[in-house]
Amino acid sequence: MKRKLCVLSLVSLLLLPAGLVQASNQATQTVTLAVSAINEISVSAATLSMTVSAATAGSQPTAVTNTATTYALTTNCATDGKKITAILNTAVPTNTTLKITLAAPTGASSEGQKTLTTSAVNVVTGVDAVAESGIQISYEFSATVAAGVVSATDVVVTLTIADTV
Amino acid sequence: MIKKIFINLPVIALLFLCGRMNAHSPSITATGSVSMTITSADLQSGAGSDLTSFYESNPASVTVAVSGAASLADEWLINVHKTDSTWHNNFHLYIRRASGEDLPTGHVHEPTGTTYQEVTGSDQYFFDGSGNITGVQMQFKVSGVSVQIPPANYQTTITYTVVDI
Repeated sequence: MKRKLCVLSLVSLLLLPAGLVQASNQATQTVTLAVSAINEISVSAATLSMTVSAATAGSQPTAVTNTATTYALTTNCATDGKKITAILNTAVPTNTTLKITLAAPTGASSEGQKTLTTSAVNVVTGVDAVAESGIQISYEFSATVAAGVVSATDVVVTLTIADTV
Repeated sequence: MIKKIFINLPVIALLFLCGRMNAHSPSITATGSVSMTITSADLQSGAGSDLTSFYESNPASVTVAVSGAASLADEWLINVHKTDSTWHNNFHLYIRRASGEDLPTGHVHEPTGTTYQEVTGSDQYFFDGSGNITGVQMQFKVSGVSVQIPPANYQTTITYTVVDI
């Protein structure tokens, strides 16, 4: 009996330090990569000019178009998670109309030609995660004879990436 | 009596050897954690461009120490693997040793572990050395980042294992 106790004590003494050391032969660390929501849009030119100055006799003045600008878009949104809206900062002069058409980036849909007002209007919908540039913007500016002669007026068009609701 | 000693001797010797082998096994500790945040500031060239594809951590944020080595000549090696919790399949995680340690108590064998190697779910050799060392800096690199990765916090756990050799 004494001998067994001695052996057991010996076993305990020999294994105890081994167990303690083995418990710390590993160490861990956490690596976290936080990806923020990214929604960036820009246009290729800050300003453009359009003038209605011609007409066919018997018809309203001829509308003018401008396709000189493009936009660039980067978003890491979910599928169909975003849309693009357009809005004017101030109304165009009475009896004139400014319309906009945005081509769609890959995976999204253009809403076609939309009249710009001081209320936001959807111009592109169903936007997926994408990074594209050189996407066409088209403006059309028209006036009726009732507008008369209108002096140059600046308006600001704001394109916004918004959540699809 | 002699017979009993012969019977017990191999058992006692084995237990003694186990104790001897493990009593001076080195242990490892890791200090700090890695956190990288990706925002729109990481776009390659603003709207229309994709995210920079790889990111490196600050090497000063994570250090590893080995202690409990029997002597300056007691050699060991470190293996590394990762366990994903919310990691994205597109991500590839790499690790390298960003500092060398040549202390009176031990040193890292140069140039082991100084070039990036991918960390996978299986234990892989990382670097080796001898004796006791502290403050060895670890640096991480993550590749495979793009706007196709949804916004979220992605996390994986790195496990270092020190093996007495």
